[in-house]
Amino acid sequence: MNNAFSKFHPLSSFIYFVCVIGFAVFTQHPIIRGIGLISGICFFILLNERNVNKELAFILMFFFIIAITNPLFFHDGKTVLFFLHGNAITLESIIAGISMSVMMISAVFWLWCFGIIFTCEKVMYLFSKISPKISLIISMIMRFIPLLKDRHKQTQGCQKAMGLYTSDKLTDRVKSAVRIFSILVTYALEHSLETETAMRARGFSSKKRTSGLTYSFKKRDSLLLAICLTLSLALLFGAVSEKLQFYYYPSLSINASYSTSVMYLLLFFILAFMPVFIEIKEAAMWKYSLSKI
Amino acid sequence: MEILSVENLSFSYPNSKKKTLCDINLKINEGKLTLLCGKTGCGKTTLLKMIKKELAPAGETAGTINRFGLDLPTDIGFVMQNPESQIVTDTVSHELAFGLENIGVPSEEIRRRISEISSFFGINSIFNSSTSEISGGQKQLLNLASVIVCSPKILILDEPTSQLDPIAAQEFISTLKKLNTELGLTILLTEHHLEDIFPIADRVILMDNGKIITDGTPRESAMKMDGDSWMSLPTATRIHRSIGSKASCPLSVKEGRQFLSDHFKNTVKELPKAVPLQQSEAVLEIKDVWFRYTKKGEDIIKDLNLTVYKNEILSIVGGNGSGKTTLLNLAAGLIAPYQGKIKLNGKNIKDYKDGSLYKQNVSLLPQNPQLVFLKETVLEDLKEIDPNPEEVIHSLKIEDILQSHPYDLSGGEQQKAALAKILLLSPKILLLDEPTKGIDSASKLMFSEILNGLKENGITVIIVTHDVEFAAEISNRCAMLFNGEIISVSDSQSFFSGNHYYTTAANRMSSHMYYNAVTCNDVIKLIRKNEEYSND
Amino acid sequence: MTKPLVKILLLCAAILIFAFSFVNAAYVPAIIIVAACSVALFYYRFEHREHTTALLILITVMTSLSVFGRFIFAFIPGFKPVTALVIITGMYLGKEAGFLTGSLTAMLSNFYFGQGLWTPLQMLVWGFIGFFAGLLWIQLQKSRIILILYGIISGVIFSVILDFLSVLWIDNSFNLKQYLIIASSSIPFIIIYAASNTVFLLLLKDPFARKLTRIKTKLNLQVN
Repeated sequence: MNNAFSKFHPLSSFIYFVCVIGFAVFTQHPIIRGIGLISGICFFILLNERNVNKELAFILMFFFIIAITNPLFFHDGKTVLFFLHGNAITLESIIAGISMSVMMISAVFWLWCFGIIFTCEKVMYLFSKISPKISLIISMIMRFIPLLKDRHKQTQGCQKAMGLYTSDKLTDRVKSAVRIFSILVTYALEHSLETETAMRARGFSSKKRTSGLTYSFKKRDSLLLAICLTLSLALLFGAVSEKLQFYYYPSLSINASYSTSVMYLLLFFILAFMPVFIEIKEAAMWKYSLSKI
Repeated sequence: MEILSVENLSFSYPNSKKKTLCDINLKINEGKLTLLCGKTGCGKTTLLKMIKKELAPAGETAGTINRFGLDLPTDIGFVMQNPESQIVTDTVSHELAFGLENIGVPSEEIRRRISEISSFFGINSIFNSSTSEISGGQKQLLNLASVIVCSPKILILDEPTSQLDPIAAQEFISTLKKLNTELGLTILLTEHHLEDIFPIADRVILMDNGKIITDGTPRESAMKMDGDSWMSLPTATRIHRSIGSKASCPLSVKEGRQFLSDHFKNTVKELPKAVPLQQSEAVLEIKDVWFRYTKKGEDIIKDLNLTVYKNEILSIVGGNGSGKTTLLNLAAGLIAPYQGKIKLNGKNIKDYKDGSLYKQNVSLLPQNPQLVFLKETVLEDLKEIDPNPEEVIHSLKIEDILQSHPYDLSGGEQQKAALAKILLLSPKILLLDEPTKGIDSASKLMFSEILNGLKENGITVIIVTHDVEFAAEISNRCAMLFNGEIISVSDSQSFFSGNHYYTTAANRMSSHMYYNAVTCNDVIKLIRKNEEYSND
Repeated sequence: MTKPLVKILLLCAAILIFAFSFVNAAYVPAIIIVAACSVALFYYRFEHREHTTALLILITVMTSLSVFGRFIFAFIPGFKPVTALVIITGMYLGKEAGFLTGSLTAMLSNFYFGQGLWTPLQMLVWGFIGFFAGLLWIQLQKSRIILILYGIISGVIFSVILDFLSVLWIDNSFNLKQYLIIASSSIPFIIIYAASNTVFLLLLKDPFARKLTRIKTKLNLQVN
């Protein structure tokens, strides 16, 4: 993981994600949704961690369908463009459809970014603040799943070499899958006996425990948190006072004056593009320090 | 100074009339490495668990155990047999922290202590790895390290190396030695195979039937060990005992060499060459085979050629990662080579359709016998293959374990039960992956008798193993696999006597005097011959 | 009740009141936040109760199996033993174990299949599926019909809630037409889920009962 944003403390980056995704997804304003989408895509490209070409094509298709079906089902809105089978197709419902799919795609991208930044280790850290016990259980599960995977592969080979249910017929495949699952269950439960002994041998009891997971909370973490919370509170104020409200029907309209709107949009722009700025700044500094070697 | 004393301890499990422990008296002094041995089921594991308060089994107990200054649960460290199931968490660093988290050490101190211990154990390179991607040997070292990080005052280990390959086992034992000599840590352990641990122990206790039989220095105890426990002794000691020498008993290969040169002659330098097996028909032919797991991966098997003849036992030996298991899976048709041919009875194994390859042809006994079982008793499992398994049951002598749950059996019993299930498929070729892993010497001996019986019944056996001692005892031919290629293949006597390092302890001990003594019996035979010769 | 617990409760209430009375119809984020808080509350309670090591490890095993179960049956689309395993956990290991297995399965399988906005809600719903299975263990163990019924309801409930919320989300109010459009698209999935729950419950209940009983005796664990 070679990106700058994942070096932030889990708490501040978690709060950041909650704020951005919250506003990008739960406000009606099409421009906020648009900013959310563009910033999400930029951030995702900068993270450069996952190849999503296949998923992307599928998602684009899916959301394209949403965008075009909306006007087919909803005929509200003042500006009628044309009639289809006697139903009015309106500009407002087309815009609403596009805006909705923009919001959904931006949610997908932001959640991808979240998935890249929030490794299991960070999730466990956050959980350890609520409950070290749950954090331990998660860690144990993350240990156990690869074990099951290995065991599954071995069992498959072994059972195949015994010539049981080896044809390619679906019934055989299902039977074989059920058999193997059954073996895995037995294995997992028996294995747990020894693990339980090992845990008790190492002084585990369900009394108070600490967590060895530490992330140091640095100055830049408080800075990120402060900026993020200030912007979010301001935006929340906008939302509560209905200044961020956007109406698609009967005609596209906003609730605030032009300048107030621009101000709020600017605030969200800064909030949403923060990780992008951070990544670019870090990359530039990295290049600069490399040039000095 | 005494750290632990056990006085008149007796114990029996609920619903069992037999006493698992019977009037045990034992004192453990600080800083000593004590070895506890005895055959499977002699009560040694129960004794260790009784000492570790948290693990003491429920049952009827009499007598006392005094633990001096061992108040915290982490003061007695405990490491068990199976490296895999003792690992609790997902990453190496978590695992090291686990014990400290349990006793409520603050986060910052945990950080410091685990980095310190990781340097001591030399596991810095895997510190950030996940626990599922490290090797078995590393796993067991990690288990040890995560116990040591809590600074125990006494360390108890229950057969810690039985699941490891010989190289990893040696590394583990040398780490134990380092802990004992450099930190003065008190260690109490049990082991099946004593070759490496025996020479470094301060004291050896032998248990049988819940009682302590002998207790003394390794040399004293070695002289008193008989029967099953005799088989697990180091090679040098066994040779010394077998010929009834009165000289001081050698414990290691080094002492064994000295012992041979000091007391025996080598006028006769070699045993008659083994008669080469009649090269009967080839049952399995592997021709110019190449294999890799992924398109862009490395070749695991490279241009490999091997012919297996009917009615022989062939062992394939080689280190970790040499491709042994891959080769076996290729022969079992579980994976297919991207180049080359594998022929079974003259027919390409690709052409055996719909599992006909596994019907009365080839069977594979996996490294872990547990993989074979599905049902809740051994008998049900056997009946899944053949409703009338009596013959196999009788020939493997497993009548008394038929009603047990397969997972409740000991390593050796599991091995036999799994073999029984495999044999019900009436294979002509039997493939065995590491069959001696985790079983004690008595089971090993019984297993090799079974294999010899199978050979006489016309079954061809191919074994893949780390265990050179076992390979030397059992096989007609041995092959060395290195880096995906067969480096050498010949009858086992010339195979091992030709190697200098990768060979049996008996060979390493006697190579300066005798040319082709590979097993204990070979050395004894030569010694006897020389004695006869000088007597004449 | 401990102090921090009260704090979390107050926070939940505050967010709820805030969401419903001030922010214009922000039902969905409010519901998600409330779901997250409820899960946190439950976990917090779990932390402060004593449990045997045995129970923790069985929760681990059951969760791992239900997360991994998805992969084994991946060749039949939509057919997974996940919910059935959560129900079985509740039935045989108690309501707390049921809740944890359900909620953790939801979160951890999303690690493999992608986190969604619904994760907290999914955790809560699956948690409750396990929890109620633990409450109703006597009925579920005795009667196959109730068990099947419970399996079907568990298969349907999450989709229904999700569809309902999607409508709220898109329109900011409940619109029946929109609901029907969305619900009709998820009917095939609902049928598969309900069917697979039924099949897996019938298939797995007895073997699991035997295996878990065996392990519970060995671990000396008493539940319910």
